[in-house]
Amino acid sequence: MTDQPDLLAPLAEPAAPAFSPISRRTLLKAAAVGVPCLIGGGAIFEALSALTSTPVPTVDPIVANYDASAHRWGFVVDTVACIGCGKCVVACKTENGVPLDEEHTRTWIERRTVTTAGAVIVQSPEAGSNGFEEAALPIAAADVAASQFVAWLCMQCELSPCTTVCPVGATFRTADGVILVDEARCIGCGYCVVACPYGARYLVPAGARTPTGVAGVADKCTFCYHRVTRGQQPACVEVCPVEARKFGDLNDPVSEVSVILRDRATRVLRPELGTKPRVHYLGLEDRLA
Amino acid sequence: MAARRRSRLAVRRRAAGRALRRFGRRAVARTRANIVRLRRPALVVAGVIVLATILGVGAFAASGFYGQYGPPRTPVSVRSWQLRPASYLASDCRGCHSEAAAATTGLPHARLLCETCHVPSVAHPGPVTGVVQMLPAVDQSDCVTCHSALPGRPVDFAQVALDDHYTGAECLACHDPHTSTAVKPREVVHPLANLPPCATCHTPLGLKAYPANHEPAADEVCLACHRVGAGGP
Amino acid sequence: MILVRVHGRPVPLDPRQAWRAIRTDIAAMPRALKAWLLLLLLLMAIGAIGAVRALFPGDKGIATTPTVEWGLLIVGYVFFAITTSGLCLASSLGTVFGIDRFRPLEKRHAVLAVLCLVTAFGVIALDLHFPVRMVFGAVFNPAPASPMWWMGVFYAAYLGSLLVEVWSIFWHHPRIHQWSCLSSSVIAVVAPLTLGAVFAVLEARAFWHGLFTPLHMVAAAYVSGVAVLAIVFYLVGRLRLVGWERGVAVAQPAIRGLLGLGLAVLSLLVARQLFSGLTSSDAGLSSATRLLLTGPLAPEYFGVRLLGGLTIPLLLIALPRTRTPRGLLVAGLLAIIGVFVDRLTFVEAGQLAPVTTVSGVVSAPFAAYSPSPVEIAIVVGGIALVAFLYTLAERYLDLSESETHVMIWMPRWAVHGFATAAGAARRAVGALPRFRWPRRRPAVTADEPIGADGPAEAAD
Repeated sequence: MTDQPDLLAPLAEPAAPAFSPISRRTLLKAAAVGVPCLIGGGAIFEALSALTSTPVPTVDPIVANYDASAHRWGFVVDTVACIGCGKCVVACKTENGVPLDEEHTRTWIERRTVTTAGAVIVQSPEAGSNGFEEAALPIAAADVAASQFVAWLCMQCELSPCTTVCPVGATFRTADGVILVDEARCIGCGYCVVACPYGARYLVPAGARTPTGVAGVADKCTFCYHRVTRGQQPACVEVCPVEARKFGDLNDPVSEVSVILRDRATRVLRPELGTKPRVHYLGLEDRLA
Repeated sequence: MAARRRSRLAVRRRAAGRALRRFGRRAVARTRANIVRLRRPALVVAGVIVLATILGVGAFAASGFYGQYGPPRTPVSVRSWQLRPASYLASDCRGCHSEAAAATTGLPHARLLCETCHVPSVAHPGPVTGVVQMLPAVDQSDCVTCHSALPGRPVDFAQVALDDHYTGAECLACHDPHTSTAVKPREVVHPLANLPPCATCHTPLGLKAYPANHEPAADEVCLACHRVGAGGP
Repeated sequence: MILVRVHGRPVPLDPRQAWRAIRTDIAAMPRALKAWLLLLLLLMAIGAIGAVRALFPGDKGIATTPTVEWGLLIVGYVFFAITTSGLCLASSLGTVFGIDRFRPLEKRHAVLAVLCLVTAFGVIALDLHFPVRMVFGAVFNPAPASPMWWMGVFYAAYLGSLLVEVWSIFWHHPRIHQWSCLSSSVIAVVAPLTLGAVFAVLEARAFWHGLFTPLHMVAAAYVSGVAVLAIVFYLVGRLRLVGWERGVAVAQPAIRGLLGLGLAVLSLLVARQLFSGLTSSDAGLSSATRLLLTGPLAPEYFGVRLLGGLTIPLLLIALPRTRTPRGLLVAGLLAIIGVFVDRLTFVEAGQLAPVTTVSGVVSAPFAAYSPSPVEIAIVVGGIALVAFLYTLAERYLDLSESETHVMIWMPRWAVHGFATAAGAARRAVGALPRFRWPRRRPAVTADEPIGADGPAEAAD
């Protein structure tokens, strides 16, 4: 075996590289200068954008004395009483500066109709803000087996998918159970919007009406947090002419919502998803849910 | 130590011989020229894979962790939500607008917030300076939005099928929104010019229903009796 | 003093000299290359216009709505991200496991992977409303329950690993190269899994929810990466680029095999997806599947994704007549378009079958989404950018196989186990009855060999 190659011989010289090598020292020096420059530039950018954004207003005494952990806000929608006038939607948009189009809305009304054949028709013209006068049913009145107006809003879920999936932790739950969005941290990726099983969220569009003050961040119903912390009720609850929306403190055993949840049978929307919504419904029909 | 190195050498020579018989001289020579051997065993391979698996499984497991993230939420972001201005102040409109307030007392519209129909209090045009400044009057469409008969509305709610209800007249011509009652349909002065057909208003439920022995007919029939100077009403 | 050489010639760093050198180089380019680069520059300009429009605050010209919040830009990001993972997955057979026939892929895949990943980050930065905030937010406010956070972590780590890989292969550090190839390959499996998890954890979207979404994402990544390599290696062979001999002889058949395997696996996953969607009792899932099969998405799903993206490439790879370089090119092109359309229909189907009517969008029964010109421009510009930079890389870098390879030695029991398993598999496959394509030409009989007149002819 004279021509057996010696596998254990030392390695041959590698071929000359195409590039002349930059020395490690040069590379490290460049990195030592370049990386802090990048980070510093980004930090300056962030600081500038923070400076030009809306400053946080000073605290007023009512709000300063608000103890979030003493409250547990609950919401009840009386589906039987709701007449579908849409004043709650208008009130919400007025109160919170929500855009007026039907896609970007914090709350909306759906009319759910089940026909005698068992088909479910769902309508929500202009989010219900102008009522349902213009929304004629595509079937004859005799074919309607049951029909209800169902108000949708953010359910402020106890096991909320939206707070879980936010990649920067911009959406969070307060101690009193209201889910808010930190508009200074939100990056506008829209993950919470697609994650919400109730379609309650949206990204604020560019335009004159921006409920958060800035376009591109996520927004949703906040239970009118600026009102409830002052002892008022959400705007939609205040203006409802038939008192179909009820709001109260679940920690208070004599509040209306506590009494209802204790004494009457309520349902939630999409219970199979296990989100444990804080918004309960009275009188929701089986066939329509 | 030296014995271990010798035995390792022997193992490699045997492996080399096997490779030569298997792959042939040229391939082995090429591989020989190209291989640089690492001394450390690559158990780190397994460690990296295990770490990645743990991280991946952890991500799935962590998806059950609902709640807030990041450092404890300082009041800054919560404050900005608490300090927004409110529009619907539910202020005591009755303090100034006593007449309208008194009219609703005890009646269905009493439980309504004034701002339900009128604009939010925040838009109230300034303090009263002696001249009563009215909030914009309610539009007729506000009545229809709530009170037209639609499928889905509860049966015990006051609603009316508009097609059958005094067509051609405004709600406010007969109904006072604050008292939420309807005055008896008022006397309607019939101008001699541009009258709509009689049956427009004088339907069975109309502005002035007609007695049992009357039937809806063309104008000529009505005007046979009901005309100025004919002695009829 | 930094001295950069390209093909042995030093590149001047003085601007005037550099400009003169660039002009000479452009003049020296063949016309076809100049036309190709010009076309790509034009597409990149269109993309740049779209990008500028999307960067301005205010109306970005992007057609997403609260019902369909994730549009073409997200699909573009997913596409580029899985392509870059697939490139590493495909070439890991050569770099990590040392299989020789996959060795020609090592430099090309690294360059392509870096370009695709950078483009992916660019596309997603244009979709996010606050991209700078994301970088700082993800670092200083980690959200370990969010699959998207993990996806960001892994793709950032992947970028780092790829950069080390590219550096080590061009600056000739074989050991570092081997370790970085290993880490890139591992991350190239985990990262598309997390990208799939972004979709898969959402119970709200029945079409996306489930274990198979991340697996589907990895399979799509694999097919996408291999398809890109198929296109590239066709060009390597056709244009006689560096390393074309081994590229044509060894890499092309290897890539063909990988593409066939990937398409087969992907077909199985698609079949499972359709089957489970059609037989599901979940209203959201069956609604979304109906959307794909009989609804507005049906033409592109059947025509482009199933027929063009799976069936035809598989046929091209399987039939011996089309087992040519050109057949591989067509298969690769169709497969990669199929993967893009697959991800597009996937992202759309999960959203067009809405979870609620969402404030008036009672678009009986599906919502509607069509990408705006800005989004199309950005994605087209991204593809053109990758093609442009890769063309320059082919021209100015040496993308042939490197001369040194490092073997990471596994423990002995792992080596033996691997060899035993491989041998057993080979024997099992060999024991299967051999499938022969029916022959069209009459068989040559043994007593009349062709060329029997050899010596007689030579004597003339």
